[in-house]
Amino acid sequence: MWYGFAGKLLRVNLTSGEFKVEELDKNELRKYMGCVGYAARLLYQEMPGGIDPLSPEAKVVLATGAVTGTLCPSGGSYEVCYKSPLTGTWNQARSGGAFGPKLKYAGFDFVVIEGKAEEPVYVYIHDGEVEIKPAKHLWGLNVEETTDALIRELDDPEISVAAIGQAGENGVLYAALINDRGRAAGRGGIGAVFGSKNLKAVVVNGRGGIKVAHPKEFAEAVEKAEQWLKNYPFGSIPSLGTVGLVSLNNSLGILPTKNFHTAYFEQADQVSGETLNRKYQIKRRACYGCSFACGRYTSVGNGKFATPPMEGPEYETVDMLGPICGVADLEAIIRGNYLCNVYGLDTISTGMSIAFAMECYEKGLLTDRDTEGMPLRWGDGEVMVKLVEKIAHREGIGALLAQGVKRMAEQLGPAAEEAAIHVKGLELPAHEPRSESKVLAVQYAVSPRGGCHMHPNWASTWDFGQLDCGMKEFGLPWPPTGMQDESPQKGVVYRYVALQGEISEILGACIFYSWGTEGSCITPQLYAEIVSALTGWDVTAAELMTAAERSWNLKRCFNAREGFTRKDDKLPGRFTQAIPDGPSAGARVENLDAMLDAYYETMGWDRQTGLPAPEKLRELGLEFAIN
Amino acid sequence: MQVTVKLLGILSFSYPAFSKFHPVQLKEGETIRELRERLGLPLNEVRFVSVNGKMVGEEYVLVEGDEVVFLPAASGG
Repeated sequence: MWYGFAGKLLRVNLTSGEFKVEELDKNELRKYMGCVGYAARLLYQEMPGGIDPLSPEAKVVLATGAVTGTLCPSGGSYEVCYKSPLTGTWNQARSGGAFGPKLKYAGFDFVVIEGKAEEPVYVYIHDGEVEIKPAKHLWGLNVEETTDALIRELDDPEISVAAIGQAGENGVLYAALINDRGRAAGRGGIGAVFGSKNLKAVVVNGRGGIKVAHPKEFAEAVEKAEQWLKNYPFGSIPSLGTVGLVSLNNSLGILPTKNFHTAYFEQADQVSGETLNRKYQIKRRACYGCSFACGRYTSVGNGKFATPPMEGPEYETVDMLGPICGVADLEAIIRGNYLCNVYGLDTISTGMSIAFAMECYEKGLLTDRDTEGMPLRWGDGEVMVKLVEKIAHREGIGALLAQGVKRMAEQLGPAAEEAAIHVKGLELPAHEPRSESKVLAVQYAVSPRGGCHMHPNWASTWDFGQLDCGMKEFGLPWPPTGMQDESPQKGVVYRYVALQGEISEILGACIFYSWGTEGSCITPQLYAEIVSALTGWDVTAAELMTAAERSWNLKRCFNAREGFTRKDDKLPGRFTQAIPDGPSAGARVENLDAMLDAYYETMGWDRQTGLPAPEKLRELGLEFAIN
Repeated sequence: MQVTVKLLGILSFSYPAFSKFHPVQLKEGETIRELRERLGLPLNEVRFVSVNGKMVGEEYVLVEGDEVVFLPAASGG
């Protein structure tokens, strides 16, 4: 009997058109706790190094965790794990909505996708049944049209559709997988991987349940979480969504602007959460079972950027299609967000690729001849929206932008390198490592998927947020130092921030719920209570920490096998230069190497190579990953 | 003495007039803490305070013409 899990893995081979259902091994699952941890084990063991992520040999894992689809309020997510065609590294993309819970209700904790279909197909999973169905008639449709067509075809309005749009079909290297119309497994190019496999969509629905080992204790633990969350430190998430950060970050000089040239945007008020709320918001949107509802549901009634009601924009998208391109027009941003949703594009890499092109145009590295006469000037919302269209269809200059900033810079020559703001090929998101948090600077350098602010955690919780998230008992240094402090201790802090975030990753939980302190968020200790009651396993916070460390190390080993070492753990040169203006003028990153030394050492990793030492891997039971 | 005050984000929900800079009369020598208490803003709801674009602490002594912004905690992905 399984509690908290469906207990099954579905393996779909698109080449042969066959599938099989595998029973999970309880001991092996518990070792990794589930979700991303178990997916890391699957991909490490089943996908040898050096495989082209766009080849039939590449595998994709759709993963849920123990809390997915349960009463636990953070259980609305699922994760897509794969090797990224944009970076060549491990990637995991989390998405909310209802897809994850419905997959579990359909009877599966994991779906492993292998091979390549000869003709376009979609996979339909419903109540334990699996069908691989033709999708030729859907190829060329956008995500919204695909979703509508599938609802009609399957005659079930309650299905959850995760689909690619034209961007994925066309192989845009940062194409996203969009589920439930407006929720994105956004980063790293999973849409291009689906496209390379001729896989248009995965459709799920299920009406089965999830068994709970100790229902009374589970209900009590969840009630405790709900009570604690009444004191959640970020009260603006429900009311303003994540977009509430725009005005706050601008006031602090930490709002990335004009391709990270600066961190202060004069017209920030025009694109703030307050303005969005007042002028364009229809209502809030929540993932399955979530009481925060950080999602926005907005539209633009008329004008050149008229947009039907859609989910978004959130903070990243506002900054990336707005200030990062110098754009101060919220209507253009909403329109650009809508197009990214329907074409299936990661809004972060899209915005950063556009900003990179604007900077190259300003410097004369791109000219009107390259752009078919379209001036790529900072702040032009119309141009930004046109470029989104061109990227999705790889049309004209869009074919260049569709490759991301690392490859663009390689083609435009050394003078363009300085404008390519990425780590390991992943364009940086809307958090400023010079002035928001130096723990974040460490994360950007070492995150397994490249320059990332969310996997495994929002690293600014310690110095920017002043929150311990329940980690003091494990040794998290306290009290926090200033946001711009660059002492090596920040590398030590990152170990705790990363492992605390990884706990959410292995449980399949939304990371937002883990930010706070005892009594105001779901701490590792409270997760241990919830998971114990749910699964019947006697799980402690210490066991969650060990499983998190196992998962974190295994992802590092995955990247090591692909050739990544300490030499790749670096930041764009721009961050060693001072922020030129605004409230944080003068801030820079000067001491990354010393912070990294401290981080590797506290992780038990070799300082020279930055890789897990054999004794650390043995300690974690990862002997198979020792080289 | 007069300063101008702006409340950002959710702090402005209770006092919409302060969503833009709004004048407040103070006595000479008053600090950020006294201003915050006068406005009825609980300490745990204010994460940062800036004066003329620079972060300051609760003990900062205000002077004529200061532009003060109270910021709540916020987060995002």
